[in-house]
Amino acid sequence: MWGYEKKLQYPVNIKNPDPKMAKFIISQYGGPDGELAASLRYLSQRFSMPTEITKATLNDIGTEELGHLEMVGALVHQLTKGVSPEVLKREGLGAYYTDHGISVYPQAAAGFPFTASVLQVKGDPITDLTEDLAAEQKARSTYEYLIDLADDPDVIDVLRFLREREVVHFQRFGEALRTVQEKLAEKKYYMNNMQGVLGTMNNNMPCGCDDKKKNDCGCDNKKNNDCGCDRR
Amino acid sequence: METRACMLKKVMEYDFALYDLVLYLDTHPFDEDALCLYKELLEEAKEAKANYEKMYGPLTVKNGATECEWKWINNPWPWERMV
Repeated sequence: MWGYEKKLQYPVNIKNPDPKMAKFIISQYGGPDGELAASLRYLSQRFSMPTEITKATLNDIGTEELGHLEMVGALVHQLTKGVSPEVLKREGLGAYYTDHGISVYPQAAAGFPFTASVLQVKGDPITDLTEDLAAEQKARSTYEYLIDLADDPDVIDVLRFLREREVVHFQRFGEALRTVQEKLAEKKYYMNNMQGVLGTMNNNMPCGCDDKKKNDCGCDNKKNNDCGCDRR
Repeated sequence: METRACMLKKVMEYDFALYDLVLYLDTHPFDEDALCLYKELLEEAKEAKANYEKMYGPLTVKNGATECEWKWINNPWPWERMV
C-alpha cells in the first residue's frame, strides 16, 4: 500500500513556459528510459526477488521513481501552462495539443505512447538487477541530453537532481546485485531434480576420511562413505 | 515568520535525507551510524512536518480532517507552481 504526501521530492517551480522543452522532457514521463518504465520495472521485478535486501531495494527505489514521475509531470505541466494553441503549434506541439490538450500524457519525445515493451521482468535476480543497472545508466544519459537541450536554470536544476538520483540508484542496485552473487557463491544450489535434496543429506553424513569430527570434510565427493580425498 | 515555501522546503529536505538513508540502509542494514542518523533525522522531520501542518494544512490524508473542515483537498497541489 502506498500513501501520498502532498509535496514533491524536490521543488519544481518553473517561471517561464517553454513548450518546446516540455516536448523533450515528456520522454522521462512515458518514454523508453522514463520514470514510469523505471517504477513499473522495479515494482514488478520485486515479486520474484530472493532476499530481504533485494526485495527492499526494488520496493523502495520503485517507490522513489513514482515520486520522480510526479516531478517530471510537474515540469511538463508548468512548462506548458497558459500557453496558447497558436504558440503550441509554432513550437511543434500542434499534434500533441490535438490529442491531449495541455494535459500530461505518458509518451516519448518522438510521440509514441508509453509501452511496457521497453522493460523486462525476467524472474531471475541476476538478470533483473543487471537490467536495472543498465536502466539507471540509460536514464542518466537521457537527463544529460535534456540538460544539453535546456537553457533555463530552473529547469536544469531539476534535471540535475533527477540525474544524480540515477547515479545513487545505480550504486544501490550494484550493492544488491553483489549480495545475490555472494549468496549464490556460498553453496551449490541444484534446481529441478532431486540432486539438491540428496546433496543436502549427504553433506550431513561422515565421508569416511580422517576429518571425521566434522560432518563435512570439504571435498566434493560426499556420496561415498570413503571419499578418497587427500586428507585421509 | 517563515514563508510557506520555506517551511515546506525544510520538510522536503528532511524527507529527502531520510529517503536517501532508507536506500542506503536497505543494502547496509547493520550500519549503526546510518541507523542512528536515520532516527535522529526522523525526529527532526516530525517536528518540521507538525509545524508546517499547523500553519498550512495536511501533508498526508491521515491528517486531512482539521476541526470541522476537510482541508486535504485545498490548493495548492504539489505539481502546481508555488507563488
